Amino acid sequence: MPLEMIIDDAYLNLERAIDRSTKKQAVISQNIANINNPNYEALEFDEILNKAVKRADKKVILEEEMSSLSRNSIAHSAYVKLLAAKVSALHSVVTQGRK
Amino acid sequence: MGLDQALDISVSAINANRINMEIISSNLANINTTRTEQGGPYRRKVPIFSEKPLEFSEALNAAEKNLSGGIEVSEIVEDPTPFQKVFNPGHPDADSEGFVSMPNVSMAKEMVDMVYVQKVYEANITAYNATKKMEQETLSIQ
Repeated sequence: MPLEMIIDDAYLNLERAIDRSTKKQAVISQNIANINNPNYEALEFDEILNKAVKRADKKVILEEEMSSLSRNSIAHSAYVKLLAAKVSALHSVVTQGRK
Repeated sequence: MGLDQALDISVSAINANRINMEIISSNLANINTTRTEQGGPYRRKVPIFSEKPLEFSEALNAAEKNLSGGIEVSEIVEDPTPFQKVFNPGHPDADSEGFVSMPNVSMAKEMVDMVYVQKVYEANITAYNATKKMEQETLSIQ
């Protein structure tokens, strides 16, 4: 059986998703931190470029940021659980021979 | 790692809001102060917030170049609005017409600011806790 069947694309995709939600968390924290700063230009996380971009036209809206914060942490939690489930399935496959 | 940066940013904001709270406390405490070291009544203090620049070592490791180190209180300035004149001829600091200059602190304004600062402080603690939870979950992959 080729190795690609066991370690499939899903690992890479989940890894990327976790990386994205990690970076997004820093962007949201930055926006919430600067809620009192009148000269601050809000940042937005660009999902395609995978980096933070300046959102010069908009001020920080606390409610929006708090909602993205919880959505992002739930998404992150989901990715981590999926990855952990895949790793644990793989773990039980590779240890079957011992039984 | 990105999550450490997120934690640092939230901590900087919690810190800046704590300083803001100290300034509000000082304003409220001195609401009746007519004598200060500089002479004259107490002037209301106002914090100026600015984005905190990254330190060099942090900038090298930062996952995201557009992010700064969060926020900081860069300076504390005095509110230039005029003092309130209160008629109180018996006061030792009264002028020839019997008016005393009282600090330009408005109690209602300080109380409103205080509630706002509390909410912002809370928002940043929520962000900190969410990030902490994410970090713990990431560590649970095994």
